[in-house]
Amino acid sequence: MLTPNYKRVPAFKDIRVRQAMNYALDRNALNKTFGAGYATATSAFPTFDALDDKVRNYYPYNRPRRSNSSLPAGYAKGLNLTMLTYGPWGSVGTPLIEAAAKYFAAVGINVTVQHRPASPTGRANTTTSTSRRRPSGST
Amino acid sequence: MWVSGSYFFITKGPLNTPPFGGFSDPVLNKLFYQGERVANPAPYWKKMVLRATQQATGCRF
Repeated sequence: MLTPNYKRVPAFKDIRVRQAMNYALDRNALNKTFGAGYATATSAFPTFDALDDKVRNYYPYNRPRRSNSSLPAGYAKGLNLTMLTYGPWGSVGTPLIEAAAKYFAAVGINVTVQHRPASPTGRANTTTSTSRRRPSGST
Repeated sequence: MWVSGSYFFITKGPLNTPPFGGFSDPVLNKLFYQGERVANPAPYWKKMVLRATQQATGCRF
């Protein structure tokens, strides 16, 4: 589950941006990779007892064929985000967020992932990685 | 869902605070309090999730 900070990133107030982020993720591939296929792809708020088939993968993976095809007008230069992960859940912590960041990069959402494991001293031990869309023509 | 509802969805829930939340939806509140008073709250929980998802991502049902 991603929790957007709409005060720090006003773009999150634009429902078209939120929809673009939903379409950008290949939930089934993420499930296969990080959940061994045991998870259920859903577009809903995650719960154990209230999943409704109406929102089961409501936003299927829409692999972008053109640059920024999923971001609305006004974001021609893309969107830069920082995603924080506290990584307490092993492979579904930071690695999952880094995989999601690559999907977002494909639609022009450049993501810097900051891994901030909890520490007894309260001081964040931050490591950073960045996923950006490849320039056109590169391999 | 009772935990999620009480933390995320109801007005002034511990995790329904800015900058990640801070919203107040009377419909969600009503569904939550109705759900926690019945033996089988699943129908109420589902309505809450559908409403929250619709507001967050614009789903149409």
